[in-house]
Formats: sequence, structure tokens, C-alpha cells
Amino acid sequence: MKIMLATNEPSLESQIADRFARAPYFLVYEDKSNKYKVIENNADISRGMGPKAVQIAIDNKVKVLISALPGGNAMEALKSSEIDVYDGRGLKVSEALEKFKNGELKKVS
Amino acid sequence: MLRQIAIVSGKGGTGKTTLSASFSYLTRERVMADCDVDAPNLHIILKPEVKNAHKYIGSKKAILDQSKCVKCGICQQVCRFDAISFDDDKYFIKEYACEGCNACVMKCPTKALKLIDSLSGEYYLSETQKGPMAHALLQPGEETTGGLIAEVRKEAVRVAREKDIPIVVIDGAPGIGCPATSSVTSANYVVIVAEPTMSGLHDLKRIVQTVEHFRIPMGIVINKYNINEFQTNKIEKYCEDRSLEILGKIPYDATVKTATEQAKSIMFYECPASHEIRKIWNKIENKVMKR
Repeated sequence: MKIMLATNEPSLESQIADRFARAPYFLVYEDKSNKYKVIENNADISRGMGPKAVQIAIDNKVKVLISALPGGNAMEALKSSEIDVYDGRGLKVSEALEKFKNGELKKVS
Repeated sequence: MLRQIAIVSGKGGTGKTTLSASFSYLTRERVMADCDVDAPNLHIILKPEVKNAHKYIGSKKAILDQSKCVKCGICQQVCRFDAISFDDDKYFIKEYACEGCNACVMKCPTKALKLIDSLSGEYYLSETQKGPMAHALLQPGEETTGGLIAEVRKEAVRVAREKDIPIVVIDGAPGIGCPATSSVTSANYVVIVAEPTMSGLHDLKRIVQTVEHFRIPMGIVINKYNINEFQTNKIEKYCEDRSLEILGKIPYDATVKTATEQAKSIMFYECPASHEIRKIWNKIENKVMKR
């Protein structure tokens, strides 16, 4: 299963970013292989970033998103794309993944 | 740990900036972020000295190369924004109407059109008497932009971390849309300013929903509560029903007008309004800084 994390840095040691759609990086983590891919997030539009970021998740066949809480438009797009959202505020990527595996992360939708 | 406090209101003109400037005065050290980039005015009171200015490219616009144009008119037909006109025997693009959607570029048979980056605004890092301030100015005719606000907040957080300043005070954008959302997201606490009018209560409800969406703790301030006690009661009832905390009720006070005319913070004056604001700030500080 693919898990997307919105992060400040392109590594598992990074913090989860303060914002979802305007996070500097997205990590797409595959839990079976324990490998991840880095996507540099080019937040180059002044509005409508939410749906654009969700499109990145869809294109990468992501099932779960761990990030700061997405805005209203992003949330709607995530819901209709059946991507589960988990609250990763204040966590490191490695911590967030650990908590997610143990079922300790709070589901937002 | 860095704390970000956002002051917002669903409705404009409720007293966000007056309150933000007061909080600025009441902190020992803080970074201010003016996120009302459409019509900023916190600078009028805080008088920042600009240290760094950055250009913000937030959109694209079409330009037309007349030498390649065969005047077929397809671009005008496909433009949904009515941004292409024909005048004096040639087509031209109305830059304030163009949304940069790319339809004309895709359909032009002679590749006479292309999209270029468009300057949407500027953002600044400045210095004020009480510490750094991040602010911005949107170009006239540009769309409301969460992106520019994101830059202002990034700049504020960066300088706060660099100088080890524990608090960022955000003067939020009005409304409930993209700019307001961008002002409150990932804040640690949100202060909502409500005014006792019909539209005041209506817009309060809408911004409460927006903040609830992000699951950020919030408190309500009723400004000029005594100009309409009937509406104030309704706001209080609404807050009680939803278990929303009322941080304080600021009375109508002519001194606020005097202070604004002098471009000074109300906190320079001893008056009922400044007295109440001081109490409100103490409550917020207790909540936010000691958690």
C-alpha cells in the first residue's frame, strides 16, 4: 500500500510539514518494500493548490495521506478519491509511519 | 516552542487589525505577519522599515505576438473570460481579464500566443519597534491568493526561528475562503473577532466552521458589544450552544477612533477598550504560551 506524507525535507527524518498542499515535498512510501519516492512539490499557483496536490496523490496510486490537516477543497477531493487522511501534525516522518502501523494515528476522514 | 496566533473574522472591518496591533504592543517580543495582502493596513500603525523585498509570481497571463497572428479569431472564441478583444484591426489581450487558462495558447494555429509569468505581488520582511514583521502587497487586479499569504507566513516563521522569538501574531485575511484558510492553517490558536450585527453573527458562524475544519482551538472576541446588545446576546447564545469560549467583550470606545486617526495603537491610551484588550491578551497568553 502506498502512503503519501507531506514533508519539509526529502527524508524519513524530516518533520511533517505545517501545510498539506504547499508542503515542500511529498514522500510516497511503500509499506511492503519499505522504500519511498520523493516528489518535489512545485507549489507554483496562487490558489487551487489543494486539488492539484490531491492529483499528485491520485497519480501515484496513494491510499493513505499523512499530513497537516488539508483545506476544504483538498479534503473533498481526497474523500471522493477514497484516500484516507491521518493527522500527522508535529511528528517526524519515521514517528508518523511507526504510529500509523501501530494504529495510533488519528484518522481525519 | 514557537506559537502562532491568528486573528480572523468572517466579516471585514470588525477590528482584526486594531486587535492585532494591540497584541503586538502587549507582547515582549513577537513576529507580526500581516496576511491581509489584498488591502493591508497593519503597517499604518506599526510603521515597518522594509529590509527585504521579494517578488511573488503567482499566476500566468497570455501574450500575443502580433507578427505571427493571422487574425483568425479562434482565440477570442475559446476564451471563457472575454479577455481577448479586436480593435484597430488587431487582436489584443486584456491583461486584467486574462486568467492564464491556456485555452487560447492550445488552439492558436500559428502559435502566436504563449503564457508568461505574471507578477502577482511583493512580500517583505521588515523591522518594527517590537520586532520583525512580514507583510505583502497584492497587485491590483490579481486574484485573492493563499499562495502569497503562505509566503508571508513562511517568512514570519523563518525569522522567528532564526531569532528565537517565541510567538508569531497573524493579522488574518477577512472572509472564509482561500486567503482566510491560508491565514489560519497550522496556527496554534485562533482569535475570532465578531461584531454584534446581523451579518456579524452570520459571518462568525462561517469562520467558526472554517477553523473547526482545521481542528485548531479558538476563542471569540465581541467587539463594540454595546452598540447592539440584542445581537451580542445572540452571539453569546450561539457560543454557549457550541461551547465556544468568549475571551472578552470590548465596549464601543471613542478613544479607538482618536488612536486610529493618530495612527497609534489603542494600547497607548488608558480607556475601557484598551483595558479589556489587555485582559483578553492575558487570557490568550495563559492558554497558548503555557501549554
